This record gives sequence, C-alpha cells and structure tokens, in this order.
Amino acid sequence: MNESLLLGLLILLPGGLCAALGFGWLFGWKPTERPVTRLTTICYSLVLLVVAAMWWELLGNGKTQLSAVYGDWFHVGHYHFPLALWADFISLPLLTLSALLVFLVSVFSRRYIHRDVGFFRFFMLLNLFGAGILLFFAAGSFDLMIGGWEIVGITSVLLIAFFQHRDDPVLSALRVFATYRACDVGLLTGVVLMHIYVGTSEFTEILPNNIQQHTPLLGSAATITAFLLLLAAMGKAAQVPVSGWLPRAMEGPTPSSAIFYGALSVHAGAYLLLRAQPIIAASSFVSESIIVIGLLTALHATFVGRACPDAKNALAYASMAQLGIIFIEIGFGWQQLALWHIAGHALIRTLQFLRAPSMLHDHHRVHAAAGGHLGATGIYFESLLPQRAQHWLYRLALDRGHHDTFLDRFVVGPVLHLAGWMRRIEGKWVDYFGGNINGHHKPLATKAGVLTGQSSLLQNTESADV
Amino acid sequence: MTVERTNNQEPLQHLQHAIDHAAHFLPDQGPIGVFIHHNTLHAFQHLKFEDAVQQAARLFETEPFMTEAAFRKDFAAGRITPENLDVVLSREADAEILPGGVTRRKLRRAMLVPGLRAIAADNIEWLMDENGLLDFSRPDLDSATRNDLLAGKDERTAIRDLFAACFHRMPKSETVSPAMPQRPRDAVLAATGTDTDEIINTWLIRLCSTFLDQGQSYWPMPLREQGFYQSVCALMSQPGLLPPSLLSGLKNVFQRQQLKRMTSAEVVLDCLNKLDAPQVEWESLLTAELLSLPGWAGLMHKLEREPALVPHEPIPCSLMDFLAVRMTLTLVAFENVKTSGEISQWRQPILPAPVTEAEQMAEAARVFDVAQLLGLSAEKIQSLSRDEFNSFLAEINAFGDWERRRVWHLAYEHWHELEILRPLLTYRAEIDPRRSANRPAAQVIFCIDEREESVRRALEEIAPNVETLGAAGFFGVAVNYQGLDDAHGAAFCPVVVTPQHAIQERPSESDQHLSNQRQSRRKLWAQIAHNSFIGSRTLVRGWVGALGLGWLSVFPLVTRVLTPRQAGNLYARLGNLFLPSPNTELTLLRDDTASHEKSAENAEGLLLGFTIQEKADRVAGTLRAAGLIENHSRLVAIMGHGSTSLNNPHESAHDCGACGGRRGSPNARMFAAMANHPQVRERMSEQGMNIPVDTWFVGGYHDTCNDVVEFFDTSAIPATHADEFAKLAESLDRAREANALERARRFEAAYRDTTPKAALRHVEERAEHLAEPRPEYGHATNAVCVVGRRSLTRGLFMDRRAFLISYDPDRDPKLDSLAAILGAAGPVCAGINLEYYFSFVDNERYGCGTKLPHNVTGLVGVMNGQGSDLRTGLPWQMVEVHEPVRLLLIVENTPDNVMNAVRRSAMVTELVENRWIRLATMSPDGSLHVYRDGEFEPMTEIVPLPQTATSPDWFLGKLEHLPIARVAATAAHAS
Repeated sequence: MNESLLLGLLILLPGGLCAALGFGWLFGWKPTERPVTRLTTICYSLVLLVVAAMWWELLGNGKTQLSAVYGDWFHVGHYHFPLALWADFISLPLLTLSALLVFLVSVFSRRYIHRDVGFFRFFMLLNLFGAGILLFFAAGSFDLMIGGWEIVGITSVLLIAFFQHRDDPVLSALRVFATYRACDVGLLTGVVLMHIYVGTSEFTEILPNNIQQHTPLLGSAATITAFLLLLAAMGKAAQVPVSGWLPRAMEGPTPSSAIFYGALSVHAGAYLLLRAQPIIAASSFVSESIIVIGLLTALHATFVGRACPDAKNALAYASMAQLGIIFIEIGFGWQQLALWHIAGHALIRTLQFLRAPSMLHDHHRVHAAAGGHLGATGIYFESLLPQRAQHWLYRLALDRGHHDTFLDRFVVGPVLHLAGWMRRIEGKWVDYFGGNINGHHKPLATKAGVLTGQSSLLQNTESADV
Repeated sequence: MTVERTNNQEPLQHLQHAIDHAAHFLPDQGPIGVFIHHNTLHAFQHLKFEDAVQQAARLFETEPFMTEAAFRKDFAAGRITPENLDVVLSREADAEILPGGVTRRKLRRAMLVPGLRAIAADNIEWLMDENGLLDFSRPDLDSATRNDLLAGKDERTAIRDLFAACFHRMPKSETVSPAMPQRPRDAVLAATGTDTDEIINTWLIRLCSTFLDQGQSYWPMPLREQGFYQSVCALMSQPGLLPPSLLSGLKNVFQRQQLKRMTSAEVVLDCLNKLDAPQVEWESLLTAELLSLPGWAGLMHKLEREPALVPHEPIPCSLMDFLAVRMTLTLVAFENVKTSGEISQWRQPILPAPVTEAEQMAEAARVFDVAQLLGLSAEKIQSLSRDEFNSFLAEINAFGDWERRRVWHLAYEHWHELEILRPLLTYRAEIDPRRSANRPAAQVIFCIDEREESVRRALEEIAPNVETLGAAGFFGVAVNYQGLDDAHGAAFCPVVVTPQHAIQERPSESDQHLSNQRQSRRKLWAQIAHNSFIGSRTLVRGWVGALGLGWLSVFPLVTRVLTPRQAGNLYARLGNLFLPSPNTELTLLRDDTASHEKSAENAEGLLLGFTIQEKADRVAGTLRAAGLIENHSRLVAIMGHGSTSLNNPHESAHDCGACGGRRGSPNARMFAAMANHPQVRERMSEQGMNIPVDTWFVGGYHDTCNDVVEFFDTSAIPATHADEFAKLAESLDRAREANALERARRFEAAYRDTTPKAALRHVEERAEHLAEPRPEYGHATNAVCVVGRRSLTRGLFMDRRAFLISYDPDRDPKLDSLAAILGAAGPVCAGINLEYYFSFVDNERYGCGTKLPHNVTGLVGVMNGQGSDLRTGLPWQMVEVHEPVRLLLIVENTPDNVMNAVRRSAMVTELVENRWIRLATMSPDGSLHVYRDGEFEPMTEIVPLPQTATSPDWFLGKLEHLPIARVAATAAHAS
C-alpha cells in the first residue's frame, strides 16, 4: 500500500473531522450529540485500521520506516518548511497507542459528558487533540513536531478550563498555559538552532541513518540543542522543577484527565527526547542532566504523592513518578525499555483515571473482603526516619515540595510587581498625551432627555437631543 | 484567684456557646459512604418555609427559589397558568395603593405577567440605544392600557415624558449606610483587593483532607491522633521551610502557641482578643469564618458529635481545633497584607461605592416600566402627591425579585396540587376503598419509596390478582446486621433509631467449609487488589507493574469501555467461579429465659437476636400498620431495595433511606424468617393477629438501578407453595422489565420506543458503566406521599412520583398506627424531598454542582477538581429532572384525626405547621381537604380523568413528567 496515503490519512481523518465540526459550528450548525459521537467513533475506527495497515506495511515488507513528503509548506530565503511524515518502530507503537486511547476515551465520554452544556466543545477539543497528538508522533521533522506539540498544549489548557463558570479551573489553566509557554521556548529555539547548525530539522538528515552514522550535530552544538529540547520536554512531562502544574490540571473532566495526564500528553515530552536520542547521546552533559532530573522528579513525586488523600492528585503524582523513571531510562539510552514503559504506563493509568470516580465503591468491596483490616500504610520508609524528620518532610509534602510557593514568591510575584509598575507608568503616559478616554462619554441622563430643559413635559418643548 | 477564674471561664463558656450557635448553620452531611437525605435547611426549620428560605439565602448567599426566568419558561409552557397566579395572589392581603383603583393585587399581577423587563445599571444604556427603551411603549400592553398610557400624545413623546416624570419623582438617593465587615478578610478585601481566603482556604483544604483521610493516602498525617490543632501546630511550626508570602511568620506564631502550651480554645480566645471583637459579635464573626469553608467545617463538626460515623479510622475531631487553626491563619494573613493597618482596627465600616448615574436611571426605569404596565401616563405620575408616589414606590420595592419568585413558586406548587388532588378525588368517587374479601393470589410488600410505585403498578397490571402494599423498607426490624461478607455490623434502620439487637448471617453447618474457603479466597483477592492499588502508585512497584503488567490493563480497559454490561457479567461470573457460595442462616433466635443476661449480648452491648415476643411484636406491628390484619394470601413476599452503580460516589444516596442509606435485603429476609416461625405465629394469634397456617412469607430484594429481583431462602419454601412462588417470581420478572422500560423513558441515552427486554439491558448497562453519571435518577421524581389504602391509587399512573404508605383508617381507631407512620415516614420523606428541592434551586451552593469534575477525597466526600471545599448536597446529574415542589402529603383520614396524629410528633408538627410539607386529607367518606395556614379547606372539583389501556401506552416516547391517568386493565379489576 502507499506509504504517503497511509500517513496522510492518519492526520487527515481526525484533522478533517475537527475542521468540519469547527466550521460547521462557526456557520451555525448545532448538532445533537449522536452525529458528533458517531462521526468521532467512525473516524477513530478508521484511524485504527490505518495504523494496522501501517504495521502490515512495515512488518510485511521488512521496512524500518515509512515516510512521505508532501512538498513544502512555504519557502523563505534558504528556509523551507517540508511537510514530511514518518513512522518507525519508535513512533508507530505510540501512534497505535494514541489511536486506541483516543478511540476508547471518545466512547467513554459519549456517556460521561452526555447532556453537559459543553458536550460539543469537549468533542471538538478531543478531536483536535487527536489530530495534534497523531501529527506530533508522525511528524517527519522537528519543525512539524512543533505544530502537533502546540495543538496538544492548547487543547490541554482549554480542557483544564472546561468548567469555565468557576474560577479555580480557569486560574489553573492559566498557570498550565504559562508553564507550557515558558518551556515551549526550548523547543522553538532548539529547532531554530538545528537550522542554524545543520540547515534542516528533517529526521532523514539530522538523525543517523543508512547514509550517516552520527547526527551532524556535534560537540557544543549538540549540547545546546539537546538541552533546549530537554527544557521543552520537562514542561510537558511535568519534571522537577516545573512539575507544579500537573496536579492543577486535574480540574478538567475525568476522561480528559485520563488521556492527557495519564496517557498521551505527558508522554509527549518523553517521545521528544526519544526522537532526539542521537543528539542527546552526543552530549554526556545533557544525558546526565536527564538522569538527574528524572531521579529528582521520581523521588519528589513519590514523596508528595504519598501524602495526597484524594483520588486525582494521587494519580497525578503517581504518573509523575513513572515519568521520572522514563526520563532516567532515556538518559541511559535504553530506548526500547522506555518505549515499553510508556505503553504499559499509559494503559494502566488511563484505566485508573477512568475508574477514579468509582473509588469509593471499589474500596468498600476490598475493605469488606479483607475482613475490615487493610494493613496500615506508610510504615515502611517513614518508620526509618526520626519523628522530627518525618514531620518536617510531611510539611514539605503538604506544600508539594514548595514548587509552587517558590515560583510564586520568586518568579510570579516579582513579574506581577513589575507588570503592575509598568501599567501605572503607562497610565501616566497616556494621561499625559491623550487625556482620559472616559472623559468624552456622554452622560446617560442627557441621552435619556431627563435633564431640565429637555423634556417636553417639563418645558413643553420637543426634546432637543435626537 | 476566684476573680481570675471567672474572668477566664466566662469568655470560654461564651465562646463555646457562640460556636454551638454558629455550627448550627453548617451542613449536616456525614461521610459520603453512607448518605442520609435530610432537610438542607434543618437549622431554619423553626421558621415558616417561605421566610426560612429567604433568611437562609441571605446568610448563605444562595437562591431561595428557582429563578424568575425559569418560572417564566414554565409559564410559557403552561406549567403555571394565570389562574394559579390569581389564586395565590387572592390569598394575600389586598389594598388600594393609588387613587383610581390601582390595587396591590393588580400591581403584583402585572409585575408577574407580563412582568418587569430586566433593566439594570449595566444594560440600561444598551436598552436605550439598541432596544428603543425610551422610544416605544412596551409591546405587550393591551390597547386600553396603551391608550391610558399615551394619553393622546405621540408614542415617543409620551414615553420620554413618562421616563422623565419617573426620574424626577424619585426621592433623592439616600446615602447608603456603610456595611460593617463580617470578618477580617472582608476588611482586607475592601481595603486592598487582596482576598486572604485564597491562601487560607488552600491550606485548610489540604490540612483538613489529610487529617480526615480514612485510608486513601499512603502516608497518614502525623500526630493526628492528638487532634487537628495539635497536629497542624506541630507540622506548621517546622523550621527551615518556605511559607507562601501571605503566611510568612506563621511558623513563629505556632511555635509561640506551642511554647505556651495553649489549648485550641485559648488560641481562639487569644485571636478574638487581638481582633478586639466584642463578645456580642463573636457568633457572627465565627459564623462567617466557618461559612467560608462550610463543607470541611461541617464534616469536622459532624464527626465531633457523632464519632461513630467515621467509616474506618477514628479521628478526634473538634470544631474548636478547626477554628483555632483558621483564626491563626487569618491573623497571620492579615498582618502580612501591609496596607491593611492595625489588626485591632479591622472593624471599620466599609464605604459602599457611590451610586452611579446608571444605577439611578435603572431605579427610575423600574417605576417607569410598572407605570407602563398599569397604564399610568406621565401626567398621572406628575399629579401624585409626594406621599402617594413614595408609597407607590414602596409597594413596587416590596415586591422585589425574591417576593415575586415566592409568588411564582406558590403558583407553581398550586398547579401541581390541582394536578394531583383533583384526579385522586375523582377516582375516589368511583371506587370502593375497602379491601376485597377475596383472597389474593399473593401479597407483595414493597418499601414506601416512590421508585417502587412503578414496579408495583407493573406487577398489578401483569398479575391483577396480586395485592401490593407499602411499608417503610426496614419493615420494623431495626437491627445491627452483619452479613457473611461484611467486615462489621451496621445499623439497618432509620437514622433516628438506635438498634438494640444484633443479627449475623452465618453459614449453615453443612456449608462451614465452603464459607471458610470463600473468606480465605476473598482475603487473598483483597490482598492482591489492595497491594496492586498501592503498588501502582508507588515508585519501584509502579515501575515493575507498568513494565510487566501494564499492557494487561488493555483487556479491562477495552471491555469495560466498549461493552460495559457484558464485561460486568463476565467479571461477576468469574467471581462466582472463584468464590463458593455457602447456604446461610440468620442468628435470629434468642432464648427467652436468657434474654437479658450478659451472655446474650455482643461486644457492643447489643442483644443477640430477638425473642419470640420481640419477633411477634415486629411482624404484627408492621402488618397491622399496613392494614394487613386479615385475609392474608398463601404467599406473602417482602421486598427490600437498594441500588448498585459505578462512577457514583453518591451511590449510597440511592439505597433505602429507611435502612439508614443501606440496602434493605437483610431486613426483608429477617422479616420473612420471623413471620414463618411457628411459635411467632402462635404468639401473634394469641394477641389477635391471625395469619392462616397456609400463609408463607418469602423475603426478596429489588435493585432500583439494574432492576434485579431476587429472593432469599427459596429452598425453604414448602412444596405446596412452589407453584405459587414460581408464578409470582415469573410475574415479578416481567414486572421488572416493565419497570426498566418505564425508567428508560426518562433517559435521553436510551432509545425511544424500546422493548422491555432492551430496556432491561439498558438499565443493567447503566449500573456497570464506568462513565455513567446517572446510573439512575434516584428520588428525582418525588413530589407526593399518599398514606392510605392502595385502593386510592391502584389503577392510577402516578409516574413514580408518590411515596405510597399502606394504612387503613378503618383499622386504626386510636390513631396509633397513623401517628407511628407519620412520625417515622414524615421526616424521612420530607428530608428526601427538601434535599432535592434545595439541591435543585441552587445546585452550586446547596447541591454539589456537576459531577464531572468530582474527585473522591479521603473516602469521606468529593471535592471539585484538585482541591476545593468538600461538596455537600446532591449533584446536578441526580436532580436535573426534579420539579422543586414541597412534598404533598395526602393522608386517608378525617382532618381532625390527621391533626391529632400529627401533633403526637413535635418534628412532624413543625414540618406541617411551618409548611415544609403540604398536607391534604382524604376522609373515609371520600371528601378531600387541603391544609392552609391552620385551616382545612375543602376541595370538591371533579375533573375528567384521562384513561390509558396500559402504562406503556401512556409514557412511551415521552421524557417529561406526565399527569395521572387511569390504567384501564388494573382499574377495572380494582373496582
């Protein structure tokens, strides 16, 4: 079968559906729930078939990768943006996983979001996310990866703020958005550097293959580029010290928490590093950094997670702990292990997130079956520490390792302070030059004609103000 | 010394007193695993309903009634008629408010319909610019009014003049009196714009949720056995940590308190001193502080009063501790907001924002709008004296938003009252209410629950020779029961009753080995399940699990999501294969002689089992109250009920309220076993209750979510009764399908015009669906309660809206049965009804909002998202189809007798006299009276009763509430 057809369909099916729904909405189409869910189910069933065909193509013909180039999007001087797609033994498992999980979560949400005012919005965003994550995993160049990466980011933020009538979800979404944007700078500048150093970001040229044994990025070029990619990956994968957003992301509806923070979105950062593995391997500094960050994250998350008494935060930190280990695996260069870990973790965590609202029911059953004695928890590691240290650590865990407090006090606070100061200065400037805009507003009473002299009743003249 | 002591003690007593009062306003909901419906506004029950909801709305900042927009929508849809409004207005005092025949009633009627337009400060300019507010008269005026209004002038001039006249006649805006801050946070917010609650609540939520955790977290809060305050104090005074900027210095404050060894009460007193709050204001200050996080404070208070409610781990809760922490945080945060000044000076009046021009205009526009409705021209307004205009204005203001909604609400209820009472009266005239002398093929006693109305009706349609009765679902058997698979015993009775007896389910002797095997395998499974739950969340075990077993999750994930019903069946079948099911028996009997000796008690001081006399009392009492004193059929089934569902932290709210939020199956089984006991029969007949020797009782269970019906101890049914039992079981099997069909009509996700079998599959799927936020609609349709003979309602389609309590007025000369029924069922039904009312009218604040972001915390409740106040009340998905009307209680007896019975319970008297329940009586002679403000008003109007061949013909394909109809088949048989 045709490689470019398969790869194209993979993106076009969900992308097309999302675009169709979006334009329909824009032009006043108000669909009922059933057509939306049917189209989504059909779409992802087809995507699953396409993925199966891709496996067939890859395994049946003994290929190592499928790739297709659909020309360039645009040229600017020496720069051109190639529309290149690519699937190999790293990305295809993740593409399969994405197709399967988006399919399952869309079927799940059909009932979960049923009758909610945001039903259509939810499915629009879920479809957009599906297109984004597939594009990200199937991209053939780092340039195109940015596209998928940003779509995943923005849908993630919009779904955290899904319950937009309350303040907390919106504030949390804003915080996630800020974290994402700050870290995305890494991906963007990293890709720009690739263009500066090598002139391209296509996998075929920047990664080792049949023709070249090594990545053309060497020495400090590799170190800087890889480090910037690491920064981006840390944001998406909620690594220390930018991990504070992950529990806040639990404000959204349960199925979106499952697919984003249990399954796919959080693993996008790991995939970025897997993809850039040859570049990372060229820099021992970055490799070691990844291991250290992963280790810190794993320890931080397992320690904070232990003190979480609620279902969703506990799952968020459990995910974060495994992401830390996945980073360590990548740092050591164990690609296959990391990939297997990602898949297993995504599946187990999705199931747990989807089951989270049934926790009371499940716990009751287990508790009764155990005869009312479930064995005390927390007696293993904690008992090794002196009591004072335990109290100290518990206090630290309660504040989630001080991540957010630190950021609030030393980054957000000063920035807001500076912004407030600048706004005041700006106000003074505007006043100085233009005066107050509100000064020209016509008083309402004049408009209504109730000032003395305007009303026919009071003065017996026609209203002067027309 | 003495002086010092009194000085010390008196404030302490006063503080305790103030806290007790303040705590009264907190939600009364316990841990969510056992959900008890109760009146959300229990603290206001001593007031009249209409006043209570408004007082509460002011205190809690909630809605007292549905919104005016919602009522208008109902008016447009015919759910409220103009006649309803007129009737309600005619019951209230009238007066002439303007010379020339403008009466209060006329004014109010016009302000309701056509009604005031929504004109406010923020939209008035838009209305003027874009909607011609000052260019055209209201389009909905009739021509006479319009002519009066225009008074011969052209429209635009007349309207502009009218507005100008209204504007100029408005009294010069009085200075709005400045508000006093309720608590320090209000002062800080007004002065600086900083909301100290944000940081304080974030911390209190984390601290409370870890403190109250019942085993969800891996690492329990250290020192919590010493109480909330001690534990928080120890943790928060740890050195070398980074506090949020608004709480810097907190460590030192807690350290100082620790050094002085202060108790929590001393801390609160110290804080009140620092705030320089006079004693008279303590109560309002503490109330305001508590209501900032009512869910957590409420649970703390509830567990302080009733520590036995904790599901697993006992925790020393104290509201004083909570306040000590809260007040300490409040003071520290106050000090950290630099510009807020001296702490003792916080009680400065907050100056309100000056009245804007737009607000003045909007005020005038309201009078302007009313003037149009009444056809008052500009000249007319001009001609009023100052006093006349001011009293006119006062009348308009007196009929503000809440007052209008109060009248709307009464009209809404009036419509419902007519919709129920007229058909009942009509039907009563056609029937003979006495029980038939023919022996029915079987009798089935269900719970009074309104969800059982449909299955009773279905059973009667399928098997017209079966008689059904309704009795509170614990069937008079109040016990502490421990089933074979239960870890502990639990009270299976209404919450107001404390059981004195304990009963256990034990394996029969021959099956002891099976039971042992079952329990050891269950323990094994529990170990595996629990360890994998914890393991998957930890670091190393989670890693090994994800690598080795992670991919195995794909099977439960795919099956549970794609085919929930089949997956549920499969896992249940696997469970049955794995776990042997031994035959069991109940430890019912207690030796009469040893009845009060210590040996007969268990560890908690409960009597083990019942004596013959106790059994006879319980069986006879329940049957007598239900009027089943003679003519017992050969087979009598007793059906307990409960509900099974996933994705539903509120699962227990769907269980049997009469069994204390548990499933009523053990009660039904125990009742049947006791009633079949030969000695019990003997004792009963000695006391005048003759049950025929050939009558056999069988206990059963109906699941209101998946509509499963099952029976207990069927192997004990005598061979002579096997045929009858088989027939009844078959009828009930069809009845549950019919019931599923009737329930499915309400679910938008079920296909219309489905078959009974498909409907049953649909409701079975709902119970097993991981994503289903509405496994069932629970009590969402409750509205009516009928206490009387089934003949009053048998053959009527009541749309699952009526609690049905069997009661025979001819058999109750002393009114003992009625008093008992009203005293027990009245508060339970009213509690359910009022909880639904409040959760519906203000779902965000009285209820717990949409379920979709709910997050189970500490096994005690749900929060929104990653951290919020503990959400109490009912979620939107449970109440969305509810009609917020007060319970209409219809009792079959004379008004005098009913009031006599009501007065025997202080609680019921309060509910009835303060109008939390609407009461009507159906006298044995067939006349109907409605209770209004202490008087019984007769109702005589007969209306034609719609008729339908079968229930499905009436409801299929319809989503909305349906009126009462006569179901031909059953009705014919009944009369």
